Amino acid sequence: MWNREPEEDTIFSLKNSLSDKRGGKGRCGMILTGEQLSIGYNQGRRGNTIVHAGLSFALREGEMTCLLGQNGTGKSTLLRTVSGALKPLAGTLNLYGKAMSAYSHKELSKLLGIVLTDRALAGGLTVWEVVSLGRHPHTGFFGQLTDEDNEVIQRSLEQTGIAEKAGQYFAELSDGMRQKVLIAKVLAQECPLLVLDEPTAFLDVISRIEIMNLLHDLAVTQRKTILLSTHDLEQACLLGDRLWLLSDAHDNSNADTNALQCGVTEDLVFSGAMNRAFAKDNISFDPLSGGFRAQKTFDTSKNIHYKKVYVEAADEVLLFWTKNALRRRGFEVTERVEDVTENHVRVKVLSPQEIILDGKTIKSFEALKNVGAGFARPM
Amino acid sequence: MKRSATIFFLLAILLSLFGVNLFIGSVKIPAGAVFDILCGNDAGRETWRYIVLYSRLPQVVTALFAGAALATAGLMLQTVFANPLAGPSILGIDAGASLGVALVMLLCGGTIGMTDLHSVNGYVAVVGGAFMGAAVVLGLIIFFSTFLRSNIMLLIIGIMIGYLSSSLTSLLNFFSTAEGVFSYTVWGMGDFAGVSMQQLPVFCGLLTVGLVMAFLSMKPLNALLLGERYAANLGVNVKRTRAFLFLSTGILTAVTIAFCGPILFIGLVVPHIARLLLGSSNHNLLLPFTLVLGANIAMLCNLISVLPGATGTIPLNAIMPVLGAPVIIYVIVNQKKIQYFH
Repeated sequence: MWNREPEEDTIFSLKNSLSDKRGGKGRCGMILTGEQLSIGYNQGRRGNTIVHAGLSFALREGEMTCLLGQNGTGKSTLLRTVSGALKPLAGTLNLYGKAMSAYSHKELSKLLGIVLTDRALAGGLTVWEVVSLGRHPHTGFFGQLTDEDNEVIQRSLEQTGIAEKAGQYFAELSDGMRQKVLIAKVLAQECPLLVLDEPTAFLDVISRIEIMNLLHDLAVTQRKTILLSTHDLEQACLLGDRLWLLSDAHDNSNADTNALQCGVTEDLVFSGAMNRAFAKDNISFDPLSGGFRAQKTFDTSKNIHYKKVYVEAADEVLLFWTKNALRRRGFEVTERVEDVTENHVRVKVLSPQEIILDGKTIKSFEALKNVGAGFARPM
Repeated sequence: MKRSATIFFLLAILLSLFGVNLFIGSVKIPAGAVFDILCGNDAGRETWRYIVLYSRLPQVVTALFAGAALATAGLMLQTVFANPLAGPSILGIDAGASLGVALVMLLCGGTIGMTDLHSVNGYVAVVGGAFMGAAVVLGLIIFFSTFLRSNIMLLIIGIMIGYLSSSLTSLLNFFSTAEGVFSYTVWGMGDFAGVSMQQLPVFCGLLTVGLVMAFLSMKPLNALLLGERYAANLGVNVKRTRAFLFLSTGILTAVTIAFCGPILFIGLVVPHIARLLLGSSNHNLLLPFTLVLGANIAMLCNLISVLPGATGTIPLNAIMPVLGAPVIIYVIVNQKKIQYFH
């Protein structure tokens, strides 16, 4: 149920790689490239504060790239540099093959649109008016809208599914709706490249999935190039065509690797890059669920015999949730029969109501939990 | 449409207030006589003609322009600082202008005062002093705004600068002559009668420049509603726009304060009333609306100030807070319901 038509995505990437081979530069060319880029802040007389050095990356047309990294690793600095708000301290940053700094404010506003987490004073504007602000780079001195501008605004509202909200005040909307309005604004701006700073922060789970889906759809159907930062690893792994993993530059364990690791999501998952970028003590990436989990290590030295469980299950869903229940309580779980020793407790799950534990049948996970508590008691 | 009806209504009030201000004043003049004078006919008494044409007419025109200017300046400051409580008086701009005026008036020992300004040098000095004072405060605020991201902090800085210039002004008062203190105190009460017919073109001309600058900034002002970073992404040169808006606000407030005294509250209150009436913060509508509403409220205050008749006029600064403070309190109490805060 978490998989959003994986076949389609695979076919899409396949198409991409095919056109790559055909030299189809126009269809999936590099929109933005950074080479040996140093990012940070220029503090005048006090010199530069370098957050990261030697970053190299590329954004490709029609792809959604998710920037992941813990707080304080410089995600915002990187996004601000990529969106032209901050000048790189060294290295080259090119947009359509031309240096970012060579573009004027006006030119840039037609190529690159941003969505931020900033709170705006725009509550007194209607949804239509907020979206119409996106037309600013295209309108004249007083911002008068032509028929064509109105069409673009209407289309942007429809693409984000908020056309029926056009007359409402921005202030009346929920956080998720506001995010959609700001995405509609950036669509009205008609930029090929969109940069979004944590578009799903402050949103509930459903709105988060909705927004990520919407953005991915825009990348596919409108051939938009999208870069977004997020903490929602699960959705990023599901929908991100490419991941950028940013880790702390001052972290010694990353000295030999690049602070920014870029690649197609699946390549990064299998290369172990996820753990390199994020793992900490007992928290590591679980490739089966696409999220991070903590290894539970309770001190149960007294009943070491009962620490290990061998699980058999009727299907994958049952297996997944049984392992989940046992691991949470600190058991070491295996499903490979060749690993089983005499110390292993055997659990066989036929259905959620029929769990066989060492020959005894129990009727729910609730009961399994209770039996689990029994294991932990010194005997 | 509701909005166009409101605007039409406001313009009708503007015209009638303008008229009423000509017909009612401290001196009783029969309505027929005022009408004759305005039509250029002989109304009998020369003093009446003088009062209507050289006192009431410049006074109502001054009120109209001063109200429009302060309200517009307040709106621009609220948008630039993204803070609904910004305004010329809160940010200490008027305190700065007062200090400038005090320096000119008090250091010259009362030889320069707004009451008897027939020498051009005199009022140029006072206007210059007010403008310099306002500009210095605005400059300081711009300076602090480059590294203070929080607008609340910036407002507190503004209030502190205001206190600082007030204390300097008190100090100047302490060391000044009695005449100097008197003319400064009279100026400080706020009065639309300080602009003579000869000064009127300069006053209106300068304010028109400031207002035109405001109208030229409508598009970037709308973009700034989303915040500075969005505005920059929409192609607005934020630094240049800020400077342009501060220059416009500086002209509008400094000129008004120099000629009419530090008139509190119009700049802070009127934009709020305008947003509430209009139900929108879109500057294409809000800016002209605020301007007309500011003019209306200033003319209303002027009318109230002359009501005591022969006993004298009430200072403007005694009237405006009575009208203004309840509005601000209403806005703060109801901010959850009022959309433009969110």
